[in-house]
Amino acid sequence: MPEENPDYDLVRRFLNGDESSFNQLARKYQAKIYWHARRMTGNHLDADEIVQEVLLVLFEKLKNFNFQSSLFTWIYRITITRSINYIKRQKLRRFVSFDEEENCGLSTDDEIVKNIEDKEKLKKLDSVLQKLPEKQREIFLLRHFDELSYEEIAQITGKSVGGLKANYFHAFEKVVNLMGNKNG
Amino acid sequence: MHLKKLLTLWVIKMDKKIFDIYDEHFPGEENVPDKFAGPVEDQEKLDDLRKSADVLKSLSSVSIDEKYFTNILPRFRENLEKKQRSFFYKKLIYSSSIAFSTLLLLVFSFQFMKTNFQSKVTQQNETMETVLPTASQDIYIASADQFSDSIVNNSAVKQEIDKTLNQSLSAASNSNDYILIKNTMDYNNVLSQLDDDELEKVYAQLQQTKIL
Repeated sequence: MPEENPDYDLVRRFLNGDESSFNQLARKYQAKIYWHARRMTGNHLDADEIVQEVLLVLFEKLKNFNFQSSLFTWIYRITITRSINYIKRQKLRRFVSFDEEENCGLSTDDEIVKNIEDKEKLKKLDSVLQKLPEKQREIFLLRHFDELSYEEIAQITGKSVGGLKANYFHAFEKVVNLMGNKNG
Repeated sequence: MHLKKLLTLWVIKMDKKIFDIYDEHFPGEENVPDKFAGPVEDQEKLDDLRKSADVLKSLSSVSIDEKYFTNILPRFRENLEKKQRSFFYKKLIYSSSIAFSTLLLLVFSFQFMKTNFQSKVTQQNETMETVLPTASQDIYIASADQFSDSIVNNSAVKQEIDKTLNQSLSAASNSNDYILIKNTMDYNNVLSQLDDDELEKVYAQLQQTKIL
């Protein structure tokens, strides 16, 4: 029963004026939002901006939540849309300013990642993921890192399961090849 | 496992059939499923694929400063407050500009109506002036006639005229060369009292006298 979903209860309490319920929801999903945005954009500062944007959208649009789908699907949909829009905006900004290296300073993770090996891992993953087309990257992340089922991804993205499977296979193959080339 | 060692496990060519088997049992499957009854090479391919997927996942498992996640909400609240404040100011500016525009519109409308009314009145006056010049001339002539009539028929004015005339005549009568007839009544009385001889005498005398 959808009514038994604990998220629904938190949403209802928030809509009835309980601000702490929103804090609980934010704490529950903030890491998922961050990591998805982080892998989509390839740097911390952009991801952070997206997290703030998504929380703001959640805060303002929760009143429109229809309690038909799961809240987590709804949050993912917002995160994906915001991430894609953000990437497009950044591309446009770079195109207008003719500055390819504009984000070089922003992609440093010195402040949040302390471990050197972790930094290396992130750098490698970012460099590979950024080579995937945005839509393919999005599906790859949802399936491989967020471990969502094809049905859930279809609900979030509005694409068919068959199309998603094909996209995921191509993305996976591309990633494998890119990783192989980098080590070869 | 060290990162460099892990990355050597990547397979370059992927088999769609093997990938589908992997994907079908994704995520969380540790072992090759029992129903998989393919050749040994396929089994190895599947194992390699799983290892590659694990390596990819291990790249993502990094620990970041927990303070960042702790600070997300306070920063969000701060941003929200800023946004709400700026929204309030924007709303205020918007309402003020609407009110000012309305006021401006009202003033301009009033001004326009006033100018329009004045121009209409002027136009009407101009029309009246062009339509009524002959009428005003007629009125002027009629009033002049009325004035002259009032003068002629006024007894006071008549008396004044007589008085002025008599004064002029009496002044003239002081001279010896003139005969003064004070008024028509006296003249008529004198004539009625004279006989024929006297009248002839007067007549003869008048012929020799200068008359005013």
